[in-house]
Amino acid sequence: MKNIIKLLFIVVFGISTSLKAQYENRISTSTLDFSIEYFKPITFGSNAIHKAHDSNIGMGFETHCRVYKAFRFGFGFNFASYTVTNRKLIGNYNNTNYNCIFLALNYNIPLSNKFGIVPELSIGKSRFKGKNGSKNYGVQGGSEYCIGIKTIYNLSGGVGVFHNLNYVYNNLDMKANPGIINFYNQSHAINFGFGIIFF
Amino acid sequence: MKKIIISALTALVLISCGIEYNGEERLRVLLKIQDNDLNALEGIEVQIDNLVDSYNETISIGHTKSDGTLDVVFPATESDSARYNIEFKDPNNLFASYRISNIKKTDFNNYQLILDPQTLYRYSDLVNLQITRNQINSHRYLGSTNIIGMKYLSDIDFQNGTELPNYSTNTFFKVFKNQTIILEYAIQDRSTQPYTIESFSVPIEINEEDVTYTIDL
Repeated sequence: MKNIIKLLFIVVFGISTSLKAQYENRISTSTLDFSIEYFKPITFGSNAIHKAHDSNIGMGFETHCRVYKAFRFGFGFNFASYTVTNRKLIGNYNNTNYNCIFLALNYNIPLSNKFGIVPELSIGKSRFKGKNGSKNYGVQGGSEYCIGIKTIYNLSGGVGVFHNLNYVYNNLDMKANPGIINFYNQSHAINFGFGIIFF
Repeated sequence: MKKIIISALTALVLISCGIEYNGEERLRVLLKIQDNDLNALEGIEVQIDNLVDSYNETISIGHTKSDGTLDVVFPATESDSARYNIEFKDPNNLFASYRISNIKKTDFNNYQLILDPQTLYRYSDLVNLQITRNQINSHRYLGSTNIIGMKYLSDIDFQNGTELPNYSTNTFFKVFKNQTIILEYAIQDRSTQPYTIESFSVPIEINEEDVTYTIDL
């Protein structure tokens, strides 16, 4: 009888450990994830986005699927609004609205049963649109390059929260006087983000 | 439902109207503003409007720095037929405002326009010359008027440096104090066929006060 109880205990413990391991490693093993993020761009450098705007909270969506071991490939969409603070440098309108659609490749590294870190590279097409209410003041397009790292905390049942830290560089299309063109054809930002991830 | 559709269509039409801009093309204007003693003027408001067809919008506003300079950048219009006006206004109302009109996109060299130093004159240096009509005969009309003397130009055509006409050009002039100006005018008599036109030239003494000159018709 004792042996049967021991055997049962071992079986139950083994199954539960196995399930727990699967659950805890879900950060790195799930085939698909989807995340929603709020982020704050901290702009810097000698460029119009930094010198003539204040950044507001932005929002992003991102989804990936596992393609090889812990590598994931996906795409996403970010948008944010910048308030114009220096109209002499920009023009007579209130806001510059930013959006970007991008492709991303990341690698999931579980650090413990609950934590994981995810370095990520992405490249996308960005647009900066001048706005005053419903009135448009032109669209400036470009390419966006981003490198960042996510820290994920696995809550339960395939839901986690994360903190995101990204360096974002935009190379923008622009025709202007050569003396000022570098001020208008690029932007640099560190994006601090928080979000929720489903995997 | 009908009202909603009409409102939506109206909003759509309003949104689609107006001047279109190219966000990937920026124009730059560099200028300096001074008084007639060549002192730099700080805080002068500079407003740049663009005109495309019947639309007119202010695309840039700035104020001069302590050295009188201003450097502004703004998005270009999509249309190459756009005209730009630059208006200079003193928020303290010590200096008379004026405007440079009819600047074309082709006047920008490599997306940049550098204006010659602009001189603002104090209101205290100027007086108004008002021409009024004393209608004695109903068939006589005031034709063209012109003054020869130091006239303050309030709206200058960038293309040729002349004053652009406006509704009061014929009968209202801002002129500098302490001078004698010559007023030239023509009177048209429509009682005969063809009409007859008489030309006149009269000197008017301008001192420290506004002047009203009456023409008998």
